Amino acid sequence: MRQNFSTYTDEKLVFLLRSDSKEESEIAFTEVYNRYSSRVHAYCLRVLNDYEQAEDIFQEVFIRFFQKIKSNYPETNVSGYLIKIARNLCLNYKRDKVNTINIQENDIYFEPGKSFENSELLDLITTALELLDFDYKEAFVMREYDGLSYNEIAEVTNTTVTNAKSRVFRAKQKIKEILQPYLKDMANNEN
Amino acid sequence: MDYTKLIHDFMDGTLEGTEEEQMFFQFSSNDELRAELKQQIAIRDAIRNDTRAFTPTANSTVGVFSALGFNPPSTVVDSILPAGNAAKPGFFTKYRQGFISAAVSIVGTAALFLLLMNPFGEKNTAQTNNNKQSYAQTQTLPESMPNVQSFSNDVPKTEVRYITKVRYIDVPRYVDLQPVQSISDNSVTSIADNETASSDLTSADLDSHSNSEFSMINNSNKIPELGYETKNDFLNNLNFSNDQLGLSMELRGSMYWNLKKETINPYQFNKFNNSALALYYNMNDNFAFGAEVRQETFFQKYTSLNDDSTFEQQPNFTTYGINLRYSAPYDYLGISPFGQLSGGFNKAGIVYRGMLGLKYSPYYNITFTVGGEYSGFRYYHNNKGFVDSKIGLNYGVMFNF
Repeated sequence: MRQNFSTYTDEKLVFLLRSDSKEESEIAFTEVYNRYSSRVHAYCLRVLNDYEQAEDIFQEVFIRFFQKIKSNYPETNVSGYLIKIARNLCLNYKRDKVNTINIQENDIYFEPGKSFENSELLDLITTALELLDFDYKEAFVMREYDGLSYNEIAEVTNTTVTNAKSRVFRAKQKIKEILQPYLKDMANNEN
Repeated sequence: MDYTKLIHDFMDGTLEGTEEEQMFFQFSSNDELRAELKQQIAIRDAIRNDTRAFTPTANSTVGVFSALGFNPPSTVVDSILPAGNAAKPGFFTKYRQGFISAAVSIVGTAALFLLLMNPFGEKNTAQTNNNKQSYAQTQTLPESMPNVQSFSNDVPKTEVRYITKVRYIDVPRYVDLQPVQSISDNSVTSIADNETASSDLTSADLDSHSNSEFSMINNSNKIPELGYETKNDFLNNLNFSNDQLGLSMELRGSMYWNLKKETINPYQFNKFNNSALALYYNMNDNFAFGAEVRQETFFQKYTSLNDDSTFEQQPNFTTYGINLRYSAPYDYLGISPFGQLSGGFNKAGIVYRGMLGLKYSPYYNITFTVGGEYSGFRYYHNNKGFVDSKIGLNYGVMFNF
């Protein structure tokens, strides 16, 4: 029967990931994947806004994570380490993709029980994110999507905590400005 | 006052205690402040409901675990699949199963072809009109075969007589296809002089002779006792007699393209995915009627009762169907066109198909087919009907017996 590592700390999981036992490292990896795959995926998708590329980089993040964790124990926490790998890969991709135009996907996917209005707002937020500078965008995504603390954001992005806070706030302000007409409509409809 | 900053800090949990008191005090009288809070809550809720961002595709999950040599956990996959997320994998990933199925089908077909036809050699191969030769003549007789006395009194080499006897049994089968003269030629080289007379038989001779030597043919009922008849029947079966049952069995592989843009792939493909097994009864030279079982996937996109949700999935289906095939009565270089209409069902709905293709029969018992096919899939969700469709390329081999 497969063991359950869901109660283990990240530190313990990292220790097991480095185990020589394939079964142990597989179960530990599965637990890490369960815990952090959604955050890594959200980071890749919202920072790149390119679904196919985000999927490729997402896979690469976890493969590199596993390979690196076997050789060096990360100094940072697991989620921060994963986001750092994702960030490096995304930056590499964006660097190699200079002068090419990103065509935004227009497909809208509706989930059961989710209103159209919510999806519409989400699309607008996604569009607004695209208009932000990369530094602000990724700080916002790390904070709002990945739930990283300002300290973690500062560590991953090699900046100060004050800068990290400022970037998140500026990003939110900018998004609000872009969404203002829609948000006003929303407020009027409620009244 | 910058309410955005105020609410941002409040939601961040970094607002000072006194500022927080002031903010709550202002809420009752400040519409702008309340609106700001609502807007920021709406943005945060929208982000939290961004399931597309938070849900890695099943393909990615499988890709990660496969790359590391791990089995993707069912719990992970189960949590991913219902989300209706959009998967847009790379070209090879997307069509990997199709390539594998196609490769397996092609290799299987080639192996069967080589096994049955042995096109690179002439030994024991299917016969052409020019080199028809009795299989029986090439078979050695069992060593345990008892010594049977000849009806002729002056024949010392009884073993040679057995060979002669085998040839007689086979002569009627080829009497229409092969000049009798060739039989005589063969026999002269292998039969003792004192038997030459008995070897120079013609079909007419077979009909008219009633002497004791030829009565061995008529006495062939004795041969089963020697354990010979069974072997001879097996050889006859290998010879693919023209007396066919009018049945054909077709093994078919396929490659498909869904007409709606695929946004999700099956987590796991059935090992027989995109392959079919069909059995046909050939009513005449042009029409054949049959049944088939096929393993396939269909990309389904359907909406909820109120049209406020769209569901997407691509399950594996085992589809059972009946086929009506029409083969055109003309050909070019042995290649002739055919058309096929099919109807069937699987666990989710009904399937209807139309196929146009070409077939080629290098041998009368083997036919290769290739065709383009349209498949429609009609199913119901909450009593509301939906149709999805796909086009495909079918390729198969048919055994006629």
